[in-house]
Amino acid sequence: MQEEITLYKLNSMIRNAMKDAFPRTLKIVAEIAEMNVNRTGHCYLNLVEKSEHDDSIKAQARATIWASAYRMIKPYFETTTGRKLEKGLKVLVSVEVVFHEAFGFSLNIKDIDPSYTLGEIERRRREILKYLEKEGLLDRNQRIPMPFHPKKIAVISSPTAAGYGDFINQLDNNPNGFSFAHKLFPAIMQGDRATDSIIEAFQKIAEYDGFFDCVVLIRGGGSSTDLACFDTLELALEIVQSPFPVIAGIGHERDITIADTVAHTRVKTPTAAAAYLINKVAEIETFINDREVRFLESVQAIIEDGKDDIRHISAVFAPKVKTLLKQESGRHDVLRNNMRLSVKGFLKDSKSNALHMLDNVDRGVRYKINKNRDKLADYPKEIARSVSHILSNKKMSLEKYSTVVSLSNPENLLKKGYSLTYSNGELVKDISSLKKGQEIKTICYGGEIDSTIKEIHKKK
Amino acid sequence: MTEEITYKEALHEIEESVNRIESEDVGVDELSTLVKRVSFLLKFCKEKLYSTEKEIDEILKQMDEDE
Repeated sequence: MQEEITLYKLNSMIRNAMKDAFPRTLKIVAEIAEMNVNRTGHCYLNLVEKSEHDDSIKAQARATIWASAYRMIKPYFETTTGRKLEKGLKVLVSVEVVFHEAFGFSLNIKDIDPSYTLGEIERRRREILKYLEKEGLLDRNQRIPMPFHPKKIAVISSPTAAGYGDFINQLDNNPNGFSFAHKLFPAIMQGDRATDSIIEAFQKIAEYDGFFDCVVLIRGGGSSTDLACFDTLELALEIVQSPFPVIAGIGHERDITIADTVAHTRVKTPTAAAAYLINKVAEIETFINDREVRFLESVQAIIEDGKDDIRHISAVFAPKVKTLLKQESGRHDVLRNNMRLSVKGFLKDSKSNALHMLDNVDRGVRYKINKNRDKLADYPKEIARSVSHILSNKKMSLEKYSTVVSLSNPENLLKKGYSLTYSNGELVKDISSLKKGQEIKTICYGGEIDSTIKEIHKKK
Repeated sequence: MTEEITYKEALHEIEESVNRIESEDVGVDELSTLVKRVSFLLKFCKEKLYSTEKEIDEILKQMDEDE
């Protein structure tokens, strides 16, 4: 029979066996399923490994980070990854396997490697970007043209964030004195509820479709951890489908989140977002000022040209006019004299012309009358001549016709020696209608001949 | 200002007018009309840069009240 041992003894044996089995620290990959920090600063975690297929838990272990290590590990991890060390993260940890008689099995975390988590974040990002690209959404917001003068600005921020204050201050007190209209859509910018809260703000803004010129998404500045909410697919979908171009000024330097990637414009800080907007308007101001200057210069030049023309004209004009007037007045005198003489001569000529014309008219009329009288006397003679001429013409035509008629009569033709040949009662007009041995009837002047064809000689 | 013109149209017209006066022979007769027109457009555009329209302020105020 075996010897009895105490539970403590058993656990001590396990403890020793474990120590022998795992003499060194091990690197393991696991997901943080739970994490609590107690008052003394020790961190208690529950690490799990989930099945790739159905998320069911394949393995599980309690773990501890002692306060002294936690104070070092946490800030290093968070500043390196831009992520809060919290549940849901996948981590690569260096652990010591321990077994305590009273508390059982647990892992003592000595270190967490942030580069593994960074890689995980990067891998997840790439997955999301790939998905957005496949759906044709990746550059959807970037394809919306930024209004050339973004003036009505929807701001998503935490109302108390320093970054928001910086942004508004910069915008409202811009040195150029441009005016901007802005409206805050408050959102929680970190923690579990951040993604949902930002999405809600985007949806509120989208209700004012057509009103705003752009959306500015800014984050408070300060610590550059907890960027997880800007890496979610949900927020990315909200940004790409926003009706307004989105300017992301999330306020971090190291890495580019999904929100940065899909936004229309990415700037590093809220202040830079304000500068971007001011610069946009400054471009228009420059344009307007430049055109104003150019316009005024052109106007000035035209006016100067006009003045020059007038000066030039008046310099030449006065003497020219004087000469002209002198010339004209001399010419006038000559003209006046000529005119007087001309008028006199014209009147005289006119009178004699008129008399002469009267004379001509009188003579003309008399001549016409005499001529017509002669013509009338000649008419009867002329008519008689025409009639007899027509009659003799008619007579001649009649004689011509009777000759033609008598020539066409076959009796007259027969008399002249022509004959007609019939075959089967038909007049033969062509020798090809006849055949050898056929009977034919020939009509000559004074009688008929019946004969049979002995031979046919066709004309070639 | 009875005429309805958009900001963009105004900028465009300024650009066109400047190009015309620089490249074509603009007569003195036309000049005063052109000067009046361009001055009006410049003033109109500058106002857009430096002042907020009342209607925008009212819409924003309305938004605040709706919340």
